[in-house]
Order: sequence, then structure tokens, then C-alpha cells
Amino acid sequence: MENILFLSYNKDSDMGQHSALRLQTIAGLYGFSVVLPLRRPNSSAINQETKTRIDSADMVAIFALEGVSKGVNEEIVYASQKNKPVIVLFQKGMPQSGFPKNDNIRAVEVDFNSIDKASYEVAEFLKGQFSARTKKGKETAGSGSALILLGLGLLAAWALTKDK
Amino acid sequence: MRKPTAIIDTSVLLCLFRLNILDKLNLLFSEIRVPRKVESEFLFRTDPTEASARFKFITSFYESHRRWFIQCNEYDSATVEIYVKIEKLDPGESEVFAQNQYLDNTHTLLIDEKKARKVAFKKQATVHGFLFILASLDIKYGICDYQKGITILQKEGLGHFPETLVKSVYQYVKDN
Repeated sequence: MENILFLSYNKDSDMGQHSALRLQTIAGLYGFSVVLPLRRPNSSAINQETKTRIDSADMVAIFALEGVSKGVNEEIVYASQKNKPVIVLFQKGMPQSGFPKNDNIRAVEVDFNSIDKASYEVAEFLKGQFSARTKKGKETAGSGSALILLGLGLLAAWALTKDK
Repeated sequence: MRKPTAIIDTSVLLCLFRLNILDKLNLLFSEIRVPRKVESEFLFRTDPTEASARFKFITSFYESHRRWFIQCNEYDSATVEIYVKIEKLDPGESEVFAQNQYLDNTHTLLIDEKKARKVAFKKQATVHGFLFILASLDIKYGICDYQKGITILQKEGLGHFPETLVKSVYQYVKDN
């Protein structure tokens, strides 16, 4: 059974959406599955289809660089209720608020000039969430980390070149 | 007259990619949507060289043709499941149908597989295959050679195009 990452971003974030679509394409190259939320033009609230996509996922990552929008917060809350590990990626210096805090949600601050600390935090969090109890758990944590780290790289590439 | 919009399935995408004429699709359609599963079926290869070539191609193609060639995530998972389980279509085809249903059945479906085309006809969806596209680009725009294209694909083992079908599609496009 393939591992599925639900990847979300703030509705009006070009950087978030662009990076999410690119990560989805890269994931396809390796046979991983990345699902994105269904965005409706006139609504920011979470819809049933997005809930279904979260249900199908093993873990959730959020590109919330500029903060967490109301719609994304609803996705985090829903994923947390479903006991999915949730990683919220923030740009360094941005407020880490507007979403619940509990054991299966981890806010990770990303410094685009040096993403190694964020990478380490993501990997350690997923290892803890899926634990080393089973081979399957290790594999899920490993593939999830790999995908999210790829995403971090895409975000960093975007951030470092956007003004050029 | 405004050109129609379309959702593309993997085999059509692959044939157009192989003949290097994917960029000509916007002569016939104003927008092409690529479902998530179609993209991953196109990309996921066991041969790393081929996988890299396809990845390089599709990522740069999205960039250079982003006005009309777009990744599409608008589908309903339950509808996809119905096409997989009830109509017995593969995941890529199922997502083509589900995307179209989500978009109020406004798109032309670009599909080659027989079973999926039957489902499309049953649902009264507009459906075209690779041969129709190739014939249109040859007859209406003169930018490719219909017969030569088919020969290239058959040599590569891509697509099975019976002689009668090849002739009748060409004639159909010519007459219309």
C-alpha cells in the first residue's frame, strides 16, 4: 500500500500552491502519492472532498509560510481529530499562531538560508509519530520525511530566487 | 468559434509526447487539463532514464504552456471510486471522468482505451482519441504526417491502431 501525503497551503499563496503542485509531480516520478485540498472559488471553508482526501492520507504537511489562514486551520483541526501527524511549515520570523497545539501537530520554522534544522525536526517528528515499532512505521516515516524535505527544498529554491 | 476544453488521459498524452507534438494541442483545444493520476502514470517508469526524460519534459512543458496546459486537482474521490469499482476503469481514466463530472461535463475527453470510450459514449460525453488529434493536425493544419506518426508509434509498440480504424478516422476528419 502506498503512503499518501496530504499537502496544503494558504489559498492565495502562489508560492505555496506552486511548490505543492511541483511536489505532487515529483512524487509521481517515484510512485509516491501527494494529494492536495480541493479549493472552491467562493469558499475558504473545508469541504467534504478535502476531508476525504485527509482521511486517505498517512500524514499532513502544510506550507503555511506567511501564517495559517482560516481554511487551512480547519484542515489542521480536522486532520488532528483524525489522529494524522501534521507538520506546519512556517517561514522564519512569521507568527506561529492560529492553529491548535497538541502532540500530533508540529510547527517547524524554516530558515530558507539553511534548511537543515527544519529537515531534522521534520524527520524526528515523523519518526516519533510512526515510531520504530514496525517496518511499515519506519517506511512510512521515511517516505514522508523524504517528500516533505523535497518540499522544503522547493520552497527554499523559490524563496531564494523570487527576487532575481 | 471558441475552441473546446479537454481533459487528457495517459495514452493520448504519451503518444503526443512521443511524436513531439503535444505543444500543437492548443490549435484544437483552448485548455488541456491533466489529472493527477494521469500525470503520475505518465511519469512513473522503472527505467530511470525514461522517467527522467519524461519528468524534465513535463515540468518544463507546464512552465512554458501554463496558460492552457494545467494540472488538475478538481475531482471527487467518491466519483473516482465509482469509475474504478463499477465501470472497472483504471485510476487515470477514472480521474478523467471524475474531473469532467466535477466540472459539469463541459470538457472533451481525450481517451483511447475502448472500455473507457464506451463509458464516455454511454454518458454522452464528447470523446476523441489520439488518431482524431493526429488526423486533425495533419488535415487542418498540415503540421504532421498522419501515416508517418502512426508508423513511428507502432514501431515503438505504442498503441494498437487497426488499419480500418486508421482509415475511417482520417476520412471522418477529412469530411468534417
